[in-house]
Amino acid sequence: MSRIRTLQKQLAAGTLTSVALTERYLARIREYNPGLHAYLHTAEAFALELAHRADERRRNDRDVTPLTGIPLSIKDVMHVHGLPTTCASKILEHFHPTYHATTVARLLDAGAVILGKTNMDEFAMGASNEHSAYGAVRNPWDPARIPGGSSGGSAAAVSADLCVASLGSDTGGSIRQPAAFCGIVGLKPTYGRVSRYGLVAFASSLDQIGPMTQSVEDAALILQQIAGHDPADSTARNIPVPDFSARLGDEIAGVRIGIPEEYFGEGIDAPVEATVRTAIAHLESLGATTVKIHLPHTRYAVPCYYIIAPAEASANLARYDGVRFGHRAAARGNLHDLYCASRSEGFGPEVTRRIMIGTYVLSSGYYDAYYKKAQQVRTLIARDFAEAFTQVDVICTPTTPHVAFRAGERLDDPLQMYLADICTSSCNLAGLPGISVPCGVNADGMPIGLQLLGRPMDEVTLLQVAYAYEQSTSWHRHHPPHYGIGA
Amino acid sequence: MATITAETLQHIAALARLGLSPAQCAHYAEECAHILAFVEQLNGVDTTGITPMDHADHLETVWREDRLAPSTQADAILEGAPEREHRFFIVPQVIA
Amino acid sequence: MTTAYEAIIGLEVHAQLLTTSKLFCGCSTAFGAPPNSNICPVCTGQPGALPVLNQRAVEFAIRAGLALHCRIAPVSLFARKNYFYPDLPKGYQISQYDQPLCLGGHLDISCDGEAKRITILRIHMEEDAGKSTHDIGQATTSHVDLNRACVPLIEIVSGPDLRSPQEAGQYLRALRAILMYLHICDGNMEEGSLRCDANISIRPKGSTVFGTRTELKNLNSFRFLERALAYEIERQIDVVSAGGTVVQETLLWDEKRGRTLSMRSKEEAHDYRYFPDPDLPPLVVDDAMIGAIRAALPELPEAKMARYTGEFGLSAYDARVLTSEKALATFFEHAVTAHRAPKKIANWITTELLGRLNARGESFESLRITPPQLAGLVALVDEGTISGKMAKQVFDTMYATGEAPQAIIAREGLSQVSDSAALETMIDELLATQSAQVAAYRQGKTNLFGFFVGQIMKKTAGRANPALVNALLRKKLEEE
Repeated sequence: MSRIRTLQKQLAAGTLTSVALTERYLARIREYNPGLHAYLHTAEAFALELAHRADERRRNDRDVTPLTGIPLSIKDVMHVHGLPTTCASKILEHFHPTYHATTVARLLDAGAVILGKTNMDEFAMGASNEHSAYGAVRNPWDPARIPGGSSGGSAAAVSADLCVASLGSDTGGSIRQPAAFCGIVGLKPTYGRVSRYGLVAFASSLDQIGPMTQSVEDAALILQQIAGHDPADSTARNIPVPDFSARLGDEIAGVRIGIPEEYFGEGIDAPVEATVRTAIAHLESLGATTVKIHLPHTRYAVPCYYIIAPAEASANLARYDGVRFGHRAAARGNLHDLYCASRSEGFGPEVTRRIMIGTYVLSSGYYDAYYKKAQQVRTLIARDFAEAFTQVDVICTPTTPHVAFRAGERLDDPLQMYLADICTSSCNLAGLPGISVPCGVNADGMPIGLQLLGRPMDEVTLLQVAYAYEQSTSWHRHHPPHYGIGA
Repeated sequence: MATITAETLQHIAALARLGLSPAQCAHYAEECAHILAFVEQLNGVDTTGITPMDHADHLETVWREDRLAPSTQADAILEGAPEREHRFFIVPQVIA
Repeated sequence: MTTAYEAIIGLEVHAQLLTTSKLFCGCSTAFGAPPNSNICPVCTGQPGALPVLNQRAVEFAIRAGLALHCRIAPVSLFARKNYFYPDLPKGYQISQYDQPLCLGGHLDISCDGEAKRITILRIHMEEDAGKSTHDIGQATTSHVDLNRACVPLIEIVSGPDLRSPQEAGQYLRALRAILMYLHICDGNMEEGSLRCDANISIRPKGSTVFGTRTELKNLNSFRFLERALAYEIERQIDVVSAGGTVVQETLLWDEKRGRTLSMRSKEEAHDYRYFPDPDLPPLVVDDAMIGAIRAALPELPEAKMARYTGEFGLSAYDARVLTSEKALATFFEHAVTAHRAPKKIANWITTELLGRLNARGESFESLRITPPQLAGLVALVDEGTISGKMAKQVFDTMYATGEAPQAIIAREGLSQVSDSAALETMIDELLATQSAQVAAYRQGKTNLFGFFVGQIMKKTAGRANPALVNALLRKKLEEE
């Protein structure tokens, strides 16, 4: 039984209250967060108030949902009205949003408890969480290593059981990659499945919010609550929301799984490849058919991504100008000086780099050569997938080319850092759903993730296959040592 | 490999309203040149006649009815301003 | 203007659409609210806020497109125009760029009695910016009010077809009239609901190449537009005549000093870095939607003119004058409904009514006379209750006070004396006291007839029915 289901059973039986559960998590956060730095902001009073209300709701047997009373964390890129939103940036150091993100409002409607806001790479730009302006997150499996990024705080918090689950955001792999590095489940829904209203934008055509959980079923339960049309987001599609748990437990015999050769071999560490191939063999043993497929434009995904995402970001981050909110430089001067000082004081080096690249590729004379070219290649990448999905139901790849690397290892080489997205960014470019599930560890005991990609809006099949894999293996029962999990 | 002169970088930084020191400019010029050289791999793809994918697939026009939905957040938004006078946001004098 | 050169002028007109709510959020578009009260996360560019398109704004833009004979693009795109300015909350303006909603139309104007067709290159939708004020409090700060931010605008871009400040003025007047006919813009230039920029260059007459153009901003009244263009044409001719070259730049019209000022700034040259806005799906409008909007279009000036000259038999001149503004045409039509004498009513409006408005520099909106009142006045003349001459006197009072003509006539005792018995008695008395004149008349001095009429009019304070007086006098003078 999944973590959420187990807790629900106890809450329903009255052997546990949400207040007790929340207090237990707050105590764990007090104990372990100083070492991990997964949370930027813990909201004790806020969380306990929500827990009280959840218990009351249960006592009155009123609108009890699978999330009622369940303590969750929220990546600090989504607004929770009443709590700060910093995006791990100095420029939003004292920013308090005036409204809830739609996803957050839906979790609160369901009676979920919000423990706090998790650390991340500044404005969700990064693959290691070392680009947080408030200090890096450590990987619970090995504190010398990074937890991945940009949703590294959420991944570490879920992995070390400092929350039941977390909401992350994924622009080029920011949910799946840290999920793989921390040995948890991370689901990026189809673009348009979940509202982005109240998610601080990084790259608007790629960003998507999704659950980071201890199991596949929990991911389905949370997605159920946050998915669906939102009149406040023109890109949140107005189509029916299926029951994401409908096929959990169904056999996967006959499911056709595509294995794209381009995701194996060069650039992928041998132990990772071997582990993922073992996982694929396991899926075959469950009755799935594997089909070799080709996604010929795969190698262009990262360069394509590193044009489109910075371009959109350069515009999305223009609003941080020190006029209406956020950091404003103390130095007096003319308007231009105020803008320049506020922004350069407020943004860290990675954000600065991406704004520069994004501004450059959109600037006069370069638009066609870079931005338009990248959007054309994006069409080709999406076509590769569309073609493949005429033959297969899901596509299976490694989530990352390697396990979590050591802190500081890539900090001085942005390009090396960007290559951590090599397996994940094409999914965002094509707008597909993708999930990472734990599928093994390397010789150092570091987790490895199996990535499954699905047809647009077919999270149901994706979850069915991921669940079948998870339930027939034991990787989801592996937890990092030293955090008293299961004790 | 793409080269970015310090002058170009200064121009880009000014467009983006980022105040960079000469040393930072030199540093970012080098890094950006590396990144641009990397993304220029795309030149190897024949994209003749390919429509750019500016939006995610399947998006349909979304409308709002022309109805007032007055926000109750005006005062809270104003309170969030780093500097304000009465009900105005204020900035250094804009040279008209 | 030196005749060796001709001016090439194109106008970019921004019209604020009369929607209830803003282009991308539910805030009010009302003018005059306290600063920063009609604002929300979307129109102040709060992190995480997203735009959702106002359907009526699109319908209004399509109305304008159809009225100006444009092609409506089945798919158009919103783009981000990137630049920093305190009244631009997101650091970019959402505007249509290379795929606008309306393309390739025209507007016919009349200049010196001749019709001229002006090309409309495009109409696109965009959001307005807020307002920066520079004269409140300390001189070192500017104050930013975002009430206007995100209010829907259309920008109507003409071809470089205008050749004189007067033509540009006519074009802007005709365009304003159409927007007001369509009920999509209030046309108020003072409040900024209608704003105009001009691109202008000169070239030797007969040349087919364009000279370097300058962009003139802040032409926010017809007077400013015509004065600024005249000034700028002269300035460019002076530059070229002196052997210089015109510099491509943006100029601001300074009405007080009567000159254009360069907007040169130390900041980087603009590079707007347009790209499609990923937050807004492509704008798709189908034939059904366009058809429904077309079917609901009101009667426009051209069609009205045809009806006035045809059905009502008005002169082309009167018809043009009456259709030049929607309010005027509506006034005329209401009056004709009340008293079906279109030619007379048209005459009253174009001569007496507009004459007084123009002479006093008053606006049509400030008019006190109502259409039924004017119709009533014309009817009273037609019925013979008052003379035409008296009617003008009554009209003066109506114009000043807004009273009904009947009330004025009753109060001032102005109704015409058409009682023939009373007039006969009066004539008999007159002729009896003026025997010398009567004798002279009867001996052939017939030009004395006017003298007798005048005497009767004097006695009746002008109220005698002149036709009746004439007939009675003639009868009396010739009967013996």
